[in-house]
Amino acid sequence: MPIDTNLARDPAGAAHWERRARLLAAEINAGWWLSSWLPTALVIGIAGTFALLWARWQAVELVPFAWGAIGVALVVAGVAAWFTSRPRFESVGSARVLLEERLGLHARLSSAAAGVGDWPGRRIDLDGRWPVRVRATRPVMLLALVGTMLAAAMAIPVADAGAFRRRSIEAPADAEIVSKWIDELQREKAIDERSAGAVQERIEEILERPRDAWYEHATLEAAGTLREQTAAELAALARNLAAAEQAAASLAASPSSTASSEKQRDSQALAAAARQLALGGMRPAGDAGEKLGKEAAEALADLSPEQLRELAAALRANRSKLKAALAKAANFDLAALGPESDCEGCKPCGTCKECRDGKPCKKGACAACSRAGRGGINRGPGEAPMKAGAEEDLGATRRELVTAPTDIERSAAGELLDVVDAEHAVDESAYAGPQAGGNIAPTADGGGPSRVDNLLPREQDAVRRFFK
Amino acid sequence: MNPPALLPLDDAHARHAAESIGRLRRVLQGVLFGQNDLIDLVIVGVLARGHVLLEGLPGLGKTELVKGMARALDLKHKRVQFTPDLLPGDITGNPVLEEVDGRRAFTFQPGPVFANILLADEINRASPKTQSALLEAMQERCVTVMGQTHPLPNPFLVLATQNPIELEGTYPLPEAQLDRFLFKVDVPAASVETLERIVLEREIGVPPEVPCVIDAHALTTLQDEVRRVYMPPPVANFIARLVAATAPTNPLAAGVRYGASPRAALALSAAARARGLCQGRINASYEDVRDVALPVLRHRLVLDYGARLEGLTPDGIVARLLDAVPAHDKPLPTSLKAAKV
Repeated sequence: MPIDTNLARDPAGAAHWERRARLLAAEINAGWWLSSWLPTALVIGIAGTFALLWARWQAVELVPFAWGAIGVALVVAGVAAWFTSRPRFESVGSARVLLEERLGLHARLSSAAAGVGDWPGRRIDLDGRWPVRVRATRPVMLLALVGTMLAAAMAIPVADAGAFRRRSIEAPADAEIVSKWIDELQREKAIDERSAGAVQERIEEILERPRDAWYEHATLEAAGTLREQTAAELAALARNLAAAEQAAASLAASPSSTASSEKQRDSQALAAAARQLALGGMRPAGDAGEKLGKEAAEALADLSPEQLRELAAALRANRSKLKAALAKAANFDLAALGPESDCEGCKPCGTCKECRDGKPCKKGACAACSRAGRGGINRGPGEAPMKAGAEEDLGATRRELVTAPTDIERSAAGELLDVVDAEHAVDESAYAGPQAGGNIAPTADGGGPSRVDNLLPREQDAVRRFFK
Repeated sequence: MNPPALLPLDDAHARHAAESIGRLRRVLQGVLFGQNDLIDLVIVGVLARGHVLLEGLPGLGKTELVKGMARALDLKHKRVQFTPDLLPGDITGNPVLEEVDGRRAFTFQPGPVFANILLADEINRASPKTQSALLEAMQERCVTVMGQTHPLPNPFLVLATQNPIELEGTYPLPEAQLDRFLFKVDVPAASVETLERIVLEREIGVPPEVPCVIDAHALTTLQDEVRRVYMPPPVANFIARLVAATAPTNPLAAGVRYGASPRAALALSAAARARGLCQGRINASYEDVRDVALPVLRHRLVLDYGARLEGLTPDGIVARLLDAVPAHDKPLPTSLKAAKV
């Protein structure tokens, strides 16, 4: 027979014991939640460790996002754990049973909760009699393990692959130098666009290779060759400009009384220089290019003196731009461009002995041309590379100077050789010498090395042995 | 239609009842020395309106206990020595042909079962037919003879005994009949101290002085109050789980052929309430259930042959179940452990 339980007593005691029961239920439920969440947290910790290591390795900027993802995953896992462990959660009534059984209350709490009898006294000592004991070892160890793994993921030194990818590899120095030359030359409009474009294409071909291969031997050699070729072409351009300028100036300055042979030679020189300019790797830009391009090389000599003077001025201006640009760009041996030809236009008087003999008029020569040392066999020593000096670049393939012995009488011929791996730097604009009384053809290469030999070191040894 | 709800017992009534029961206990402890647990269980059985099967060697004081209880409660008691030739009518009573008003007619002559307390000595020596007659009276609390039903006096309590030795020529009670006993109590042998006290304070043929401490009306009141002892749902759940755990399908009950019946659950509930009242409480508790579980369940478990060969006993299985079935039926998470209080 059921018992009427509709009797409520001692609300204060009820609140006290119900609070205890709720606390106990919460503690047990937290334990269930923890036991459900911890394995997932461990998995997330392991995955997060790898994620952090990966982020630090591949993209450092992703590390905060990795932390955020770990946090979100832990929170989501916590919510999921709450749902999965909920069926095992302790109700307050069940916690009350546990409490009254452990405290030996003879089911008094359940009875009182049902409205039968009073609640037990609130002064019951619960110290050391709480129904459950926390076994914190396992949860703490798991959490510590997760924390340690994550901390280790941040502490372990990891190479930044992103930095490796972001590292800057400078283009080969020779390619950079050539590029600067071309940039400066284009800025000064010293060469035409096609010439510049051709060089830039070659630079791009070199730089199109994988960056890691930029410093391989083949690439460096290609860049070095490009630099040498470009330098040679620029030097050739400068020389041809100078030759054309000089020929044009000479034709413009030649009086009608000048011998036809001299005029013819100047015309040929002008035509040859124009052809060289047209066929060379580097072609002049601006007025010089236009003026040379308008007429055929052979027809240049037929220009009026005024047009020739304009042509000479344009050529001179172009050469000046060329020199200025290359001086700015640096890393260019300006000496390779040849001596400065700053002829301002000589005006023969037509009455002096030189004019009558067909020689350059000293009276009408411009200030630049009247200076001494203009090259040629009769115009000073010029620059003769063959000289006794300190030995340098032994074993190099490009340039080798051999120290001459103190006693030149006892030296072998090979010991005085100067080996230069370069083309002849012939000063074609040098003074051709006296015209009257017969020409000396070919003229000496004033300003260039008097003897150039392309001998390898073993060939030099063979020469030495022969002379010994 | 549900019966009207009983008012729960209040603390004052519970304390008063406990005092009365305490007086009875003390009196009976003066009758039967050194058998306090037996006395407590018999009192609980009386309060729970149950019958008690006592199993023990002769001469341990079973009859003295019944006599003492009858005197202490001022109840009418009878003793029947069961023998194989005992007939049902010898217990329930027989119709006797008598001349009444000049006519001969059968009149019912009540048997010894018509007493408040009946001591059925060595019940397993009677034939099953006779046993069943007694057991029917125990269950129905009435006797039907020649179509006439005769109610038994209230209160009515049977204390039956079994002798665990001299089993030849006996008729062991079948399980269905054993189930009608609330308790089966093993009467232990007396200790040296108890024997010494018996020697000093008793004489053969001289019954002890037993004062009456509770009359029949008061006993009926106490029995009514037992019904008003509150059975909290968690305790009822504990009883249900404990009884269900005796099912042979339960791994904990390995070796059990037949488990306890729902009547066992009712018996546990009634006994736990009675014990709670004996303790002066208004509700039954888990401890009460544990205390009465063994005498309530031990005769309701039928073991298989294998278990008996292995030496398993119902007592051992019940003890195992009591250890395995907690009052709080939910497991704790691994991060917590139950505190030893």
